[in-house]
Amino acid sequence: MRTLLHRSALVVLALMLLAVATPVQADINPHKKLKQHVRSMVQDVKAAPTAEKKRALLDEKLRGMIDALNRAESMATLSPSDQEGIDALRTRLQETLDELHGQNGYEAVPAGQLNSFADYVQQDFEQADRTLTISLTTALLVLILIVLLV
Amino acid sequence: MMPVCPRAALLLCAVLLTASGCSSVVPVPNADAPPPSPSTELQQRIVVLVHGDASYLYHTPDGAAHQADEETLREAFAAARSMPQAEVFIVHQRPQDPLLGLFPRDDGTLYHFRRGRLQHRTTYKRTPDSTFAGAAAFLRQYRSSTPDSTLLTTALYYGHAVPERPRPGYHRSHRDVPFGIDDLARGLEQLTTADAFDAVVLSTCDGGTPHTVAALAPYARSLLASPSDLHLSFLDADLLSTLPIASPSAWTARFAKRAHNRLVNRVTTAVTLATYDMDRVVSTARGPTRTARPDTSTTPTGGRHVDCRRVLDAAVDTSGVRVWHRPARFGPQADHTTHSGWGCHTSE
Repeated sequence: MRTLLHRSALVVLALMLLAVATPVQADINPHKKLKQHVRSMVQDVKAAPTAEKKRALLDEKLRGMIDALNRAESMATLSPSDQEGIDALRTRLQETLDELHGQNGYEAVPAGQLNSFADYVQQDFEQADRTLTISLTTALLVLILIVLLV
Repeated sequence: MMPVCPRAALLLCAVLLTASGCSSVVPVPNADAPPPSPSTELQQRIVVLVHGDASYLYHTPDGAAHQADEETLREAFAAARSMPQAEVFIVHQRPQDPLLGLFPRDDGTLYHFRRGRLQHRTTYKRTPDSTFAGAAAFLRQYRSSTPDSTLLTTALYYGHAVPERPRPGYHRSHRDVPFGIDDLARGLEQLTTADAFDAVVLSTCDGGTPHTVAALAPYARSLLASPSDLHLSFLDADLLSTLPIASPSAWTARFAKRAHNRLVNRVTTAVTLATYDMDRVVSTARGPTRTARPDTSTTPTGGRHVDCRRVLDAAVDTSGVRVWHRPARFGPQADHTTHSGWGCHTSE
């Protein structure tokens, strides 16, 4: 009887550990991580010592995100909703790159405004929650590719 | 093997389970000032609906992370505390976060303030097929006997863009359940005992579209919404306590002006807010709804919207609409210095 009670207690403790572990697991949220990735990019840009380095950093990170979207598209069969979400995000990232360099009808962002532009990129990315339209699975794939590529 | 006391383990388990059951309920801070006299006459009833069952993380320029839904709740609590003439209901739709990943838990929290004092706080399980049924039942149970028809009644919805047509994916915990503007309109109908709310505020992206305005017209005398994107820091709910009792259109206009002033100082993206005098705009809303390209996007929050003047051949009637607009500092719409107040779907 006593052994049975001890075993029961161990099972209860295991369940408690699971209860604690579940929120940790749930915290791996690709939408959140993508926003944090953009946040890190913005903070890196602001910390860069020269305008050339700021522009190069933005260029590298934005191209890396577009590359990740392209690869995710070729690696998985996407639902129409995911395809639409990825197309919209890629278009927006490309427009941002165009504006950064002054291509396709945009004037290049002046050197003195690159920090504000980085803030704009983040606020634009977050305000419409452009990643929300992408499912968790596809967002996770994009996130993994970004980590690997950028 | 290390000895384990079964009773202690069970007790610890019970404490942990109890604590984890309440882990995502946003607490109401204690009041700084003594509550006002209970005899203060009620003049206003406010319902604040805060959607938190999706990604609402955003960052400020200093890199600090903010959770938009929780911030809105704290602002609404502060407003409710400082409004002795108001009854305030606050509804938080939270992620479900099942216990051990298996057992469903309550995913909604309801707060009720009257004359600056927290009267009730409870959790509930959201009903997937009727998004606001739980909140409506709570209101019916606890609202004071003062009828809506004698008060300034306002409802505010905070969340991502409400799709013009129901589509799944809006609620992270109920991904298969479709949600759209007609569901919100039905919710507003359930939440008032009057014919309509005096004022409704949509603190979302793309709220000022013809279809959305037409859908809400039966349930609001005046509407405040953004016809384009709106930053996740939203329309500050603490402003509620700064707005005097006024006519519905004057109330929404004051709120729009003050919220716009704050937003333009903290974001570089476009800030466009508009108020709609529903009696005057409903015919326009139903007109362009027929001629504008329908939003056939399959994404949870719908497609991209721009000023209707850029996608409609005919002129856009702006009578009954007041607009506060500041274009984005960068991006494709940085040179759009004016806005009609009407947002239309574009496939560009």
